[in-house]
Amino acid sequence: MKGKICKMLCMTGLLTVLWAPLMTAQHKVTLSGHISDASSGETLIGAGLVEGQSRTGAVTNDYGYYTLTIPAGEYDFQYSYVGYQDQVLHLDLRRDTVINVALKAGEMLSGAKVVAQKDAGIQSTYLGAVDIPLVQIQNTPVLFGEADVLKVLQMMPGVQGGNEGFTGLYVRGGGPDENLILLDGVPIYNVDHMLGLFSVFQPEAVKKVTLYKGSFPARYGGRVSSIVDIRTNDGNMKETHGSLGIGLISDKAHLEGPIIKDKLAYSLSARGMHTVFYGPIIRHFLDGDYGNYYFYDLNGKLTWRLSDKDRFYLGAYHGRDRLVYNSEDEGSYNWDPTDKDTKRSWSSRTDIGVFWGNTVASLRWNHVFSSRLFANTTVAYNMYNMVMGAGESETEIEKGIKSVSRYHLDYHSGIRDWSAKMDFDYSPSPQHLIKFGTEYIYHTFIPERMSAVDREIEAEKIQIDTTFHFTDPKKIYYGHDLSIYAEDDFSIGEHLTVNPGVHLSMFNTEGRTYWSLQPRVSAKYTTDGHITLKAGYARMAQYVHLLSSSQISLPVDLWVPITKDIRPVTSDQYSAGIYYDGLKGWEFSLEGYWKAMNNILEYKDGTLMLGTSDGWEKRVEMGRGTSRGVELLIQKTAGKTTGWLAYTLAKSDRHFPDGSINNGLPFPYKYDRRHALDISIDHKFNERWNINAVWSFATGGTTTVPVREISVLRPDSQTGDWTYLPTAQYVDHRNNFRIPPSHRLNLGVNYHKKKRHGESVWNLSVYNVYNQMNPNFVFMDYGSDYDENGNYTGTSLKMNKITILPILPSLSYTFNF
Amino acid sequence: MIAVAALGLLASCENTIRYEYDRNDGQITVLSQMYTSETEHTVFLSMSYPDRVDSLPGATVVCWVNGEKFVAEEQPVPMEEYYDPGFYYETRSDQVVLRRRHQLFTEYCFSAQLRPGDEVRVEASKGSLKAWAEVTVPQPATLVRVDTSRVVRTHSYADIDGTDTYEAAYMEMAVTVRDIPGEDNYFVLSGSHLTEGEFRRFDESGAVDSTAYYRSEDRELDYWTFHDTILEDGYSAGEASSLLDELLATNQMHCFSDKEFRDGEAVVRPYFDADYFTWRDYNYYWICPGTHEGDLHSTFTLYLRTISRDFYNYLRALNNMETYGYDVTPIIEPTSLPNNVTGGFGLVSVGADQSLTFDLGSRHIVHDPSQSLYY
Repeated sequence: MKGKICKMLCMTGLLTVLWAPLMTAQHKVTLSGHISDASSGETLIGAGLVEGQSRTGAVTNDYGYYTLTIPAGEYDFQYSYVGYQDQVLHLDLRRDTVINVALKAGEMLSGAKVVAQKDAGIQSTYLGAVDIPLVQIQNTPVLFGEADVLKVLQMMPGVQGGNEGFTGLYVRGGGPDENLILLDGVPIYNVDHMLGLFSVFQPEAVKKVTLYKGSFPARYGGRVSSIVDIRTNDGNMKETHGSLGIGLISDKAHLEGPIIKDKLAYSLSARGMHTVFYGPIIRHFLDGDYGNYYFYDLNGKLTWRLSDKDRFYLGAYHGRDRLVYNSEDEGSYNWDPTDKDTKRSWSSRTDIGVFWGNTVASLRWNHVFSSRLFANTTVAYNMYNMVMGAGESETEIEKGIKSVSRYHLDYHSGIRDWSAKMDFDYSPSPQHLIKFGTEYIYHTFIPERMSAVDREIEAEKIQIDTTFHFTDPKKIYYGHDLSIYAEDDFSIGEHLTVNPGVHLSMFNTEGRTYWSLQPRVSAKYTTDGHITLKAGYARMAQYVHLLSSSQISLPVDLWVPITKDIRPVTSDQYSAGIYYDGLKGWEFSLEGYWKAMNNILEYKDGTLMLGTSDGWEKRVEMGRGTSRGVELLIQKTAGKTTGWLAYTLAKSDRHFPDGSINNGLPFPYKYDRRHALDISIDHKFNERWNINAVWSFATGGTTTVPVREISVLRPDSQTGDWTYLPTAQYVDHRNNFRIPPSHRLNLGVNYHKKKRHGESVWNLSVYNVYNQMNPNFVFMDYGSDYDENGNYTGTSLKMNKITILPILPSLSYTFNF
Repeated sequence: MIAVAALGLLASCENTIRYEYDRNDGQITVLSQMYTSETEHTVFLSMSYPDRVDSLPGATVVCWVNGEKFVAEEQPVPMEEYYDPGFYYETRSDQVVLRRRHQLFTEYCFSAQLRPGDEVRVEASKGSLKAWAEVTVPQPATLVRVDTSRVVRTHSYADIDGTDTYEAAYMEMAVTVRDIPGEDNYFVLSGSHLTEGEFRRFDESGAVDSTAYYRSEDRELDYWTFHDTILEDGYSAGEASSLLDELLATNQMHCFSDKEFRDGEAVVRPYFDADYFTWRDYNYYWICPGTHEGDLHSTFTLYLRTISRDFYNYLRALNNMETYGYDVTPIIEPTSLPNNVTGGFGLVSVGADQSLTFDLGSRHIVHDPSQSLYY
């Protein structure tokens, strides 16, 4: 009896021990909601919450939404975000609960402070993922005092600018068209103004910028080198705020505020060169010729919080570069001076215009299906086009008869996308964050269309009315781009986090379909000693190319799709890194990578690199590229002095075995810069004064120069026809000369003053303080030598360089209200 | 005002980067394009320096064909000709320098019959400098068939004022080429026109007083392709239907590969000027002036030359360099020239020929004795 009772007690105890956790574990609750800025209502992306004891946590997604599934119980949750005061909430969770938290700004203006975020930074499972806080963008001195998103990205390790001072992004050995730059999830094709001196992104409209260059989240695809995810402000839900600024080159305005408080808000930003405004005024006072160039950007967004479960966003961007030239003339004469009836009066007008830019519109809908399942649906329209027009008209009147002749030439190229996508965030447990979704893009590529209209009218009768098509007007490429993805960020124990994912894409064009299965995986192991180890692999595919005229961004650069003969570009990247954040206010990271690219395109030797699409497939060749490197990033993220040091040691080369480039031999990539060093320091003296300094150094890229004169032999030379090319400048291989290193120092000073209705900020900055003549273009020149009598004695070789950006001071004023 | 000043600062600053080179760093350049259809071969030698090219007289040039040695003889510099095609303009900065080809090359000639499969080695040396190249004569592709027809084609051209058209007559040749299987092959399709004859001058008694021989050969004749993708080999068609076409290269060297008909047959269509196949009714008085009559005979020969890959790449590089827009940097990627010479620079090649000759007939020419001599 005793034994039976004892057995029952033991069984009961055993069952209790076993069952109780199961009972408790099964009763899980989900805490979800939005984290936002207390003063504006702006959602905070990447804000975190951490449970005090278990250190279980979550971060907000791109729409400020978080979800955390944990066992029911009482907890202390700490909500935090960079530049904001932490907030601790004690919650007794017995069922699914929605908590929206508003954080108050704390040290928002103190400089860079990287926060623990899951999508980027040390805490993230992804390698090579960097968040660029807005304050860094605004305070970093760049050209003409214009804060620039892409110029700050160039200071990150592994990221280079192409030409000194221009905005091109060359990430880990990839070209500028290999970066997917998203504006609220919509790709932007042309990201430059003024041939690349400025980017199209207005910092006033930007909320967050994240760069991925190593292991890529599965939700991204379509480019092989980097993802730049730019999110714009939703609009202040509480109060109306704005800013007005005037600088050396441009003026800007920003306004945001509620239409219905906490429900409906707007955000508007505008920027334009001064010549937008005073150009037409000057024209009014000019006779004859008139020319003008300007660019402008317009951003707008409407945010509607229908309920806790539904939010809508309507966004638009429109930007343009415009170059115009007009000329008018008139006169009269007698073609027979003896006969006044032969008087002829005439007038002529010439108009030339070049316009290029993007237009983007998107509608997004956030829906919370349940506390664990969040969805975002986006439909978007995206267009980039370039139009060149030249026209001439002449009017003559003789004996009362009017003759008009008009000729107008149009050149147009562009790309237009309609897209729809759905993204889901599913968080079944604290250990798992599953993202999955799908996207469809319908591309229309018009690489080149040129036509002319010739019209002559005499005595109001049409004599000639003809339209010429210089290119095939029906030559349009269509592409269907479909992708699905899934990834799971899950924890194994306390130290190990793994993020496996897959991105499957399909591209259909010209009757041919390309499939690409792109596995992605990254893992993070965190030790107790503040050391984190990461490793990752990513495969990427790209279906569009930019036919570029190389060194600067030209409006005639063309976006073209892959074709039945040109295959997709693919890349495989392996990366690993070690990170340390045990020193308060400091972060250290050391990453290495190896990247192989296939089917990259390059113009064949001797090819004219104007972006004409006529037979472009035959003027390029597909080949391979390899890039490897080591990147060091040291950041000071707290205190009055903040900043970072970024160093990159890298090597990148290309190989086109078929023989049409460099005779089939490998050669260094044009932007193969072995060393790059960027140091950025921001110091805040007090509430009024802060200074910033950036020093950049990079060893030179490569260029191709002739190394000697050599005689050549044409097949018909033996018959004596020597009128062409008996000698040539001999090039032994492509990119055979390394340009000298470049370096420069930029300084900036900000003076803040509180005003009655806001704050004024004066900025004085100097670009290239010590006027270093960094080379933008390098070319060989043959000089003539003469003796003391002025007789020609021979030629000598000189290597000339052109520097475009010497020392450039600037002054700007901004009023924030 | 500040903005204007700032923009003014954008005016580029040009200065010099230190670039050192040895002005006396000379290397031998060996150039020779030989064919199996010829027995007289020329090797062109020159000295290449970083900043100039000079001829190379007094060198030793030896050729081996399957181990058999042939010594090439240096050719004397010719006297002035009444029409000297030797001039060309060499532009250096603002200095225009007239150069003669004989200041750039020294010619060395030898006689040998070359056959497919032969191993050919060319050696050039002078003093301590020595350069050589070894090539194997390729097997020739087969010129299966040539059909001809005289056609009239319409050309269009475009300029800023619009487009216009004109017509021209051509001899279309449908050339069937059979590829050599199992390998990548490269070809040149070319044509040559030969007119030769004998002219006689009579004395008062009607006897032949003197005889003059005339020979005129136009080689590597140009031809249209009219969008023949094989013959164009990736280059532009050459018809300026687009303004931008004027800047694009055409296939002036007439080289192509078997990429589009690997191991099979293809029909390619060159269009030669119909005038080459027509005896024109114009005064032939300028041929052997001072004679009374003569007989001319013309032929047209079509060559299908099988060449090496190196020579194919060399011709394409030359083609790129001669493009209208080649000097427009930085939007033209510089071209690297293939080089198969060891110890120096240049390219030595031997092409295997297949040819077809069209007999264009003869014409009896009678000179008008009242015509004065004309040079």
